[in-house]
Amino acid sequence: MFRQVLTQQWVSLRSAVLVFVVISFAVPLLTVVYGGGLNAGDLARVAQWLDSSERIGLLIPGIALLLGVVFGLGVWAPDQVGKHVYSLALPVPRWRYALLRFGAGTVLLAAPVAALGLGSFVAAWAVTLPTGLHAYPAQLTFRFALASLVCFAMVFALASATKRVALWLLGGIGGVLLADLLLSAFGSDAEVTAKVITALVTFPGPLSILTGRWALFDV
Amino acid sequence: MTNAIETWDLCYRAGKTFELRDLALKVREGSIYGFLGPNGAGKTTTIKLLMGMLRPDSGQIGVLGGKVPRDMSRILAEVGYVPERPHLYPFLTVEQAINFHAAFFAGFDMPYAAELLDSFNLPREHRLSALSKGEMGKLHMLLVLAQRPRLLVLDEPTDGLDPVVRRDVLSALLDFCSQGSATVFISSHLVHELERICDWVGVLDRGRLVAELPMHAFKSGIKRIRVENPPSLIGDTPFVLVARETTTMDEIWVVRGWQPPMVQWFEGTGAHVKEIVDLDLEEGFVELLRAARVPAA
Amino acid sequence: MCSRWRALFAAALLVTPTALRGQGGAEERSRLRALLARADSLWALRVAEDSVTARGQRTARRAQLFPSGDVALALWGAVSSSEGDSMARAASAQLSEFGLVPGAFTRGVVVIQVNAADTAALRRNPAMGRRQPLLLDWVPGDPRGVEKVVYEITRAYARSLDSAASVWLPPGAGEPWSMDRGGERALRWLTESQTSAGSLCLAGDPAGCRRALGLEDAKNPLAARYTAGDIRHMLQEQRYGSARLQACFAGDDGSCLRFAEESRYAGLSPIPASEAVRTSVLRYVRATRGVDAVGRVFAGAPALMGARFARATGQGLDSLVLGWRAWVLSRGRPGRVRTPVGEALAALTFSGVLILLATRRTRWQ
Repeated sequence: MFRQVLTQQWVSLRSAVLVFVVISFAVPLLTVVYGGGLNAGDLARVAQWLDSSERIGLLIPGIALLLGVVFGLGVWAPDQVGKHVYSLALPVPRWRYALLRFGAGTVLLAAPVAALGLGSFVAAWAVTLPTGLHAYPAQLTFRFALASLVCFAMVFALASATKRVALWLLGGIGGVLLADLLLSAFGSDAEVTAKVITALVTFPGPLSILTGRWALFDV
Repeated sequence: MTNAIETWDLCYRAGKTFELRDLALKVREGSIYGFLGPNGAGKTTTIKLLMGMLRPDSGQIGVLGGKVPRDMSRILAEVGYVPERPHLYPFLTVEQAINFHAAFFAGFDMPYAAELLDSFNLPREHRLSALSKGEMGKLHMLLVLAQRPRLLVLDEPTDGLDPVVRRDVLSALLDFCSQGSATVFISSHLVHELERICDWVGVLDRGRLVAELPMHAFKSGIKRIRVENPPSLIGDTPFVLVARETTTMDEIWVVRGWQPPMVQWFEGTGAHVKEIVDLDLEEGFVELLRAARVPAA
Repeated sequence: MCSRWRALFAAALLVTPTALRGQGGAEERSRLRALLARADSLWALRVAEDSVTARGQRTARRAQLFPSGDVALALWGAVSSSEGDSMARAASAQLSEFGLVPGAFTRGVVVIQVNAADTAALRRNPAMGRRQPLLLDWVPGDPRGVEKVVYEITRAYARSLDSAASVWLPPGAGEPWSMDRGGERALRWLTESQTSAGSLCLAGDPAGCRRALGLEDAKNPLAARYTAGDIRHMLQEQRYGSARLQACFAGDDGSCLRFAEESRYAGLSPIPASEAVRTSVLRYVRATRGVDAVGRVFAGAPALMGARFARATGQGLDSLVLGWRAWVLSRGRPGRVRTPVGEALAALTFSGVLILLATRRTRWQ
């Protein structure tokens, strides 16, 4: 059963998987290419090297977010087009069916994650680092895997919800924005939206994994 | 005799205008049950309730001995369902779609599916998006028949198909039924099509079940009788008076359950039967609906 | 005891603007005596009020104004006394925790909030005694108030030392930097250093480390610690049009050095390592040799900085700088490059919760 769901999702999403594999493999290598290469003796270029590593590294959480959105929507899209009629007629409980879909999506996620890992290790191997600098291919890959998983899970959960839940969610977001507007109109500096965003992106918020340093090479 | 499908006081309301009221279906096991009704009568809604896709407002639903939705997984394992608007995954090939479907049904008969694939002349390697409507209809029938289900629930399976494809689909269905004791619950507004295959018929109109009876009784027992000098008051009758209409000279009575000796009842009242006309299924269906909407005086 | 308290209290009382603005010396002393008399009477009564008013002038809470052993603060009357007290205590605790500034020195200063006209009068007031006044630009509720006090006292301590120590000692050494932050700055300087001494230190050359940290004897610091190439690189943004500078850029190494010396170092620090890096050396000494070792670096007879460190730590200078280098390299990595366990668990937990939400048990569409 899982194998068939995985096959079905692979057929549906293989183009997206391939695109993300290529991008994920390329980004770590950009650090080497963009930085112009670095040898152990290039002590004077360390600052430039670290700067480029950090800036290029910022692409990685963006890729994780995009990956989550594309896969999260993509795994449900075929069922949603048919209003879930086919899947609801299958003799599996909905919770199990959702788990099958999520599991298959997670397996597909592994491909871009592995590609990023491979690209990171290749980039780290290609460069001779001066003392004091280190490469973090494993850490970067692990962080990317977690970030992709969180983003995928978030969009997957949203895409699996009914229209009513989606409306509730939109209503909640609208409510927060409206509260901010009203509070500021009455002279309050509560900044509800900023606080909500801060809660989401700082530990232990769900999106805290996306923040922080994403440089492949660092001190 | 057990019932493959049974509902008790089933009620469901959708919006302000449509309502299923006190639906009491009984589909005997092993029968081919035709679920008739005009467009908008509630056939698809009823089927979705049976399949556990909609939640009823009240009442109970029993399918294959289990309760909906409590025993849904077990029920669905034995039910082959063709929805009104089928939607399989268009990016899969025919073969991939069969494999996907088979993975969920333990009793899926792959050799039978291959046999049907050949008889339906479906191309294995073609994507579903490249199939015609007729081919898609055949593929759906293939999938549910190869499941070897105890119950087939078909919601207008031949709607929009050309006559040749319809014939192929219905032939396969009959062939399947002849091999075992599967129950078929088939809905359609194409009365003449069901006339050939069904042995029971239920008529739904505006959310109410107006008739449920064996097909032979439905077909043979409905007559249009021209009555001269009809009685003004009618007591007990040996037949079911469906409708009564006054013309310039006579009355036209539509009756159900007619037997030839019943002419004597008219003679006993002083009336005279001038003409007895057999109604086909479609005419009988129309008269039933008319009577359901405007009760006989 | 009583006279000391009176003197200290008088110093606090004298910060009120009304009292200090535009009054002559005799009047001032007269007013002070009156205030002290009032203060004594209140002390005798043990009045437990947050503030007392004498002649219309609000004063701070008397009983806890100058706790024994702590730094003294002279604050304007609008400031909450409890805030001032807590700030004074925190600053003293921090200074003693780091161990750099002796307690005796701390007790000998009064940190005064800046107000040009009244501060001058306060500094002239005999009630100040022999305390050293330190001016501080500070406003009520300043969240960095404690750090500013620590900074001023450390800076004053540096000025009190001999020239070698006063140049070397970073004023911010006692501030509550986290170990990681300080280590990260030092590591960044080490790895991104634009000077040859820094690069050599990074490469593991103890001589390079000594030069970069300014620990060796240097009659001419610029010549000893920078190469012409370093100076050329650091001056490349300057275009004064001076002939000597042009000669430097043209490749005359001697011109580079002479230009830097004549232009008062042209903005270059005599010590290549920044204050943050020098602070990390002190933190390394504190971590490996204890709090007392930090104090010993600057206490005692004046000497060159290298000798001071060797004396205070009991180890050779090369061993010290290489140990510091290894300490910085190992501790300086910013934590966020790694994925903390907490963040990983949070990510996994949220994923699990979201999947639970997605797998609702109902079958209804």
